Amino acid sequence: MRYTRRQVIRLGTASAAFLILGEAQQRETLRVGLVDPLSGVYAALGRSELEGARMAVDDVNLKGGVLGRRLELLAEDSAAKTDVGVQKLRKLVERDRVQFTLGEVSSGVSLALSQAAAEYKLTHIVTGGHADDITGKSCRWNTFRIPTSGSMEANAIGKFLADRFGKAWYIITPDYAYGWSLQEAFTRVVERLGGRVLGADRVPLGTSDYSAVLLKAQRAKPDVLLTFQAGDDAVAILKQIVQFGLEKQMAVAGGLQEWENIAALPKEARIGWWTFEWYWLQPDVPEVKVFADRYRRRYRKVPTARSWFGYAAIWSLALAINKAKSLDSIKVAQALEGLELPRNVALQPHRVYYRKEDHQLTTGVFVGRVRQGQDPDDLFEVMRVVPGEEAAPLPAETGCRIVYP
Amino acid sequence: MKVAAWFSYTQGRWITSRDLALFALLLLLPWGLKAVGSYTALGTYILVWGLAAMGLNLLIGYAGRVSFGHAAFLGLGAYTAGLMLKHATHDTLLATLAALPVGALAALVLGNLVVRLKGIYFATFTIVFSQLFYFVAFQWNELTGGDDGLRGFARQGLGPPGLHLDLNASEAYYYFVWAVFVLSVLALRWIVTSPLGRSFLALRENPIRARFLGMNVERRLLVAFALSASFTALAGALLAQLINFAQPSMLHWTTSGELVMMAFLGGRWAFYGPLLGAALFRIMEEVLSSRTENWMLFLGILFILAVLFFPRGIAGFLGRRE
Amino acid sequence: MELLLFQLMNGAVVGVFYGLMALGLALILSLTRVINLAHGGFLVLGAYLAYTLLPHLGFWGSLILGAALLALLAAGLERLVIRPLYRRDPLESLLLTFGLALVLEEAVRMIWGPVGVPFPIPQALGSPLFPGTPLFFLSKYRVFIILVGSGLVLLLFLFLSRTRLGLYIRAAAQDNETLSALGTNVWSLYTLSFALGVFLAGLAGVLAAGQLGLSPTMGNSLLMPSFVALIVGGVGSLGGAFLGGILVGMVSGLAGQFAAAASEFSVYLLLALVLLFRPRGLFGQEGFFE
Repeated sequence: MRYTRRQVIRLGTASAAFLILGEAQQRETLRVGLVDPLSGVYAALGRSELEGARMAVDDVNLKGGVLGRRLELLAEDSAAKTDVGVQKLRKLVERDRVQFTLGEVSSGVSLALSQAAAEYKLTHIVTGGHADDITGKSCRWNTFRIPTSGSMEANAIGKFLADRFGKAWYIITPDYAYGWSLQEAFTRVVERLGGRVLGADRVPLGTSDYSAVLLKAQRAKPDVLLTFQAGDDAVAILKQIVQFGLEKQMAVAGGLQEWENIAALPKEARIGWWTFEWYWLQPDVPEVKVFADRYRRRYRKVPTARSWFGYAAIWSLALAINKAKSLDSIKVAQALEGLELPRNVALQPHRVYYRKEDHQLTTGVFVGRVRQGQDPDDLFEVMRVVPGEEAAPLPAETGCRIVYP
Repeated sequence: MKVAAWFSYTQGRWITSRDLALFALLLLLPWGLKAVGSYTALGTYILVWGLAAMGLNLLIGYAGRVSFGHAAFLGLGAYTAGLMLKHATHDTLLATLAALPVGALAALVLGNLVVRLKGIYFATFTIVFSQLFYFVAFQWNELTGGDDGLRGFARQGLGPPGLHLDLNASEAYYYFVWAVFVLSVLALRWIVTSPLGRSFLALRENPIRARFLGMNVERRLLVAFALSASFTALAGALLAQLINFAQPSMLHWTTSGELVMMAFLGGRWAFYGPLLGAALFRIMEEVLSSRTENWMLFLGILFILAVLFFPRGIAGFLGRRE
Repeated sequence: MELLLFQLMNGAVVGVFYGLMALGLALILSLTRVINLAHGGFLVLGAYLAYTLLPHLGFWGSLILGAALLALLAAGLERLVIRPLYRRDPLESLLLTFGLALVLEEAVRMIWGPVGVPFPIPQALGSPLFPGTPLFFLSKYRVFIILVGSGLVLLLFLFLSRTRLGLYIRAAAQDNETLSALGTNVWSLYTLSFALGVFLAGLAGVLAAGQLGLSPTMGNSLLMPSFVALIVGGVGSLGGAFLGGILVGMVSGLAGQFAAAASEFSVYLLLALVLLFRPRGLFGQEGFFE
């Protein structure tokens, strides 16, 4: 990384000042709060987001911070529980005086945090929740979302699957709001393409045995079997699909898949056609290699989509604050609208910016195949990166109306 | 300092100057919290969990039965308040009070299945039965919002137009919770000093003797169970409105475990023990979790040490020294 | 017809997990009067121990040795933290195992990381038993789980009924005071039963890891049905606990065929029905928990 002389001098003065002033300087930092599950079922994902965010904070500070102030990140564990998450956000705001908030993996908690941050009139970036509502019916002036929505995933991979494998689909979805919205989105896509859904099963979260629904799917003889399970459930269903040999009879596919899930699978179960939200190997984008190498040096593992969410969230804030030249939430929120992420933050081939109408980041959707690559950590072959602009539903269709206070 | 006297449960009088002092102290808590760099919502949180644990302790400390399923009532209260505010009423007071009969009713149904059981078996059965409530909240998506939780409601103000009290601010809601807490404490105190409450002690100390004396042990226990559950449900309603959300994890058996732990840590044989335990639990959790990602490990170790070395809780420990 | 067979078979597989867990719980409970809330944590730890041994010992070696190591650890923990509580309020042992559950879950996360790990099953067991036929769903690993699970339980019952030590354990479960008065060291029997109970949890963990995947939270979905199994089978009956587990598994499997969401509820429906007609559970002894 190169620095201009001016930056070096600024950095030098800043660190000298820091050494001399110590405590006083500490108080001058700009505090950002992150609420994410660091324990419980989503701990692996939450911790990846935290790691990415920490790295971004150091980068931002190396480059002179925001408005000349150092960034400081305070992280709290929500355990993926709403009440705990909201309580932690309050603590961050009322006690630790954070001025911006980030989080979290679970859609339900993300929605709650967005609401709680709005009560404090703080700008909030959703680092991990995928429910359409976050940038749809429940969108808010203060809330911006980095990850894709369920509809974006369906739009991105739907045509690919139909062209390649056929238009008779079978859906197994987790039985809660996010699972339903995926089911609806994929059904819409396949019907628009002239295909149909042969059957759909809703399975409770936390189910360990999927044999019943897998047998039903096998009997329906679809071209494509779609599963939308997340976390431990995703691992369980994939293991069982392979045990029954279903992957030899039909294409196994789905929406969002996480590197963290695939890594937990034995080699023979690393299969299927999915969308990733970001991937650490993108030969066409040199900035990604730089980022991934630094991340690997720092944490001794590869960055995942979750790491990138955390990284992009901090950078988005820093860029928006510098653009707004203000810490005022409304001004920063307005600066985020339409803000385009530079290549070394976007870390993907297409143009990435926050849509003004619904505050959704137009992040690309990485469509591809899970398989074991040369590098032991290379588990996914990216076949196409669908630009977010193309995958996202039209702003008019999201049901979002942004109203500033 | 007669610290221990605050915690003794046998005192016969309904209300003492010590209670009033405690209420006054709690009234000043928001300022105190601010002074030490903390925040009001933490105080509200502690009062709410304290009330839930005090409700539970009516059963543990007085009637001598360990319910490991009280999260069911906490959650039931939370969903009751949430659903009322969402669909039925714009009255926070009504939504809060509705939790009382709902909690009592659920406890009467559940209680019938467990009142004959003792000790560890009572605990086992209550865990399992309460988990049923968890599954309902978790899976009845149309009503409860499932795993995402119930949202789309918010606490409302109090009183008629003109004399309207807005509860939106953290401090305003704290005082509402404080008022409910104080009234509940008075009710609890009235119960434990009444003949009925004294008979609970007989259930704990010597149920066989109580039976010989003509007491219907099961029915008495059922009453204790229902009373206890309704206070915990009331706390649940307050909790839901504190965060304007209700979530299935509130009904999970591990939440029951936290409640029992609060009663235990503070001292289950002391009237205010559970409140002290709730404060200690939440503060410990808060301090640990903002320092390390692995806070569960340390919290677990602290629990184990507390069980091994402070079986009578803080109140018991202080009391013994007097 | 084959659908029914299939569901029963799958129910039996999950039932073996529940059954092993419930049997372990029952063994611990009947001697020590401790409800082990850390049982799910032990299950996960056992599976992770086996995962660590896997490259060195292969599947079979790590299956047995992983669970055995876990049992050893459990015996140590029992001596250290649980034994002091036997004569105290049951609430205390309950909270102790609650704290232990937190410690175990987080310890696993600290040692092996928060991301799940791949737990491969032997190549020979990874395929269907009759590929290409309508019976393709009889995967070898599932049959294996049922055979190994029931085989081990059979061994355990042989041990309990045919050996002197087993006799002592059964006697202690009935009346430990008399046994103690007769000069038997009841304390070491307690340790043994605790370790044995945890050993079963460890076995269930290794078997389940091959089926469900291995992550720090995998025990969560198995613990509560095992408690139901314990009660359905009848508190105080070891055989009842295992059969209760199989029954719970089968009922939830069958219900899952009609509606996936019904499988959890069917478990509780079963519980309600059993308690309605046999308040002590299917094989419960009179007066055991009253």
